[in-house]
Amino acid sequence: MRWLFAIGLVGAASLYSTSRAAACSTCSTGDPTLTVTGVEQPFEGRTRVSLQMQHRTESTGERGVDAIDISEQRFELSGAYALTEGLFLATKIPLVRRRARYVNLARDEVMSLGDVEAFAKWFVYRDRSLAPRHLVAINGGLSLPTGTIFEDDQGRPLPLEAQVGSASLDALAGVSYSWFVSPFSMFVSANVGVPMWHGSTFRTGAVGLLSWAMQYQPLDVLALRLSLDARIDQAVREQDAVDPHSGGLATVVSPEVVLSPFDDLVLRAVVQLPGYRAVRGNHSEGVSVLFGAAYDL
Amino acid sequence: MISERAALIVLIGLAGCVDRVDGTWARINVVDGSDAPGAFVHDEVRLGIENVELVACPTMTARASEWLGDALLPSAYAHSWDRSVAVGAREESMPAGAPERTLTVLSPAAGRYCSVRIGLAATQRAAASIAVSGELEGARIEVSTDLHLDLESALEPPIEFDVDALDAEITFVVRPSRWLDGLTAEALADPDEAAEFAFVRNVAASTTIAVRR
Repeated sequence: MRWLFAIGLVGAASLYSTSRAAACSTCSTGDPTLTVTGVEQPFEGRTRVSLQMQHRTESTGERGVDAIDISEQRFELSGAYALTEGLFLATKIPLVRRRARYVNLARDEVMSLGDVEAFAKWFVYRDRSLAPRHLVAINGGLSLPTGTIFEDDQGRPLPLEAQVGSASLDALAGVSYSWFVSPFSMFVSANVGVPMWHGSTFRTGAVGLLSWAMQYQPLDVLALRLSLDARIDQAVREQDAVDPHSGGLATVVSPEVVLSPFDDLVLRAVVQLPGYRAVRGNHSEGVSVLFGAAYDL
Repeated sequence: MISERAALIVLIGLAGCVDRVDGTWARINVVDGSDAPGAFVHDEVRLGIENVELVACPTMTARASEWLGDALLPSAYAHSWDRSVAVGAREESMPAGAPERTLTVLSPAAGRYCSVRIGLAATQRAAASIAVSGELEGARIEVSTDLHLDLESALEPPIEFDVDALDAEITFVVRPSRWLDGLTAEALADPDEAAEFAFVRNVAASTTIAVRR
């Protein structure tokens, strides 16, 4: 309940801080494309808040030996504000609930603020001011170690699988390209995250993210989206030993429905299906589902 | 109205919450279970503990692969059954009649376990794998060996750990009063290999286990 109250406070603060209401987002961009969180077209003063809820499962380790089954629910409140026509400032504030079940039937269930991300997205190229068809942006930011590090009764940190954050300060950088030709649109991005500081005994490594998404919008209020995401993780080190079940390449295929029941509100429902994997040790992910709502203030 | 700063302070101030549920545990004990003293009256036992294991029952797949391994590659070592192990070499010294003491507490994976084992060895922490001192035929005597010895016992019936049965207590009952059966003070004054093997056989043969759930 405290978390719901806190999220409400942040939402209220965002509303309070928005001194002027922009016109409808599609009118301001001149493009009718429904954009999900993270791929917004910029215009000065654009302010967007969104809330996403994701459920996912994951397993690491060897059955009967050291397997850990993880179930996670992530609620993410995001805010983005276009300081100028070409510069977005954004933040993501996750609330994470995680349950880790071990081979010895022990269980850890934790809930806390996750790692808050703050970043800027700078649009370095747009082919025209209104209704751009090509947008190129670079972004950079930080993932802050705000997630609580949970410990056992002896004061030792729980395994990384039972933590809601990475306990590291990560630098984030990336580049993205968006293409809009109604009723189609496409989004491609490449991002890296590099840990710069670790605050616990486990050491998460660098991560690379590649995304491609294609969207078809048959109706003004409805779009269908298909994305392919690849994630390359460096192995995790725990107590100076490499976690044998970490690191490698994992891909996810995500069909998605995007709906706008009225101006400035975009709803999305995504199913994330695990795809090709080339990972070290035993590590698998289940099907995950995500629901999101984004609203332009 | 509440400012962004206030909201941020509230957020940072909120600590996370955790709910932990303990899993399985198997306490492995050892006790001096010597009954009526015979010819040998011991006063102290020292065990060089190398490791303690609970060995899982082999699955059908493990049995099949072991059989195939033995059939196709006779020299192959295909006995890789799952086990729960506590490693940590140390010496456990017990005066005669000492109460039961805990060697380790394991936290095995859920499943069935068919045997339990204590590995005894001379290590940097223990001069001998087994040593015992006392009186035999009126003479003061001390016998020890640095041979590696597994005190292993089958669990019959096997112990199963699941959500309804998370714990077990297994006690190795050693009987030092019988460790020198068939040996004489004269033979042990300068023990040869046969005397050492007889001593080790007596240790293994006189050890039993008790299981409490």
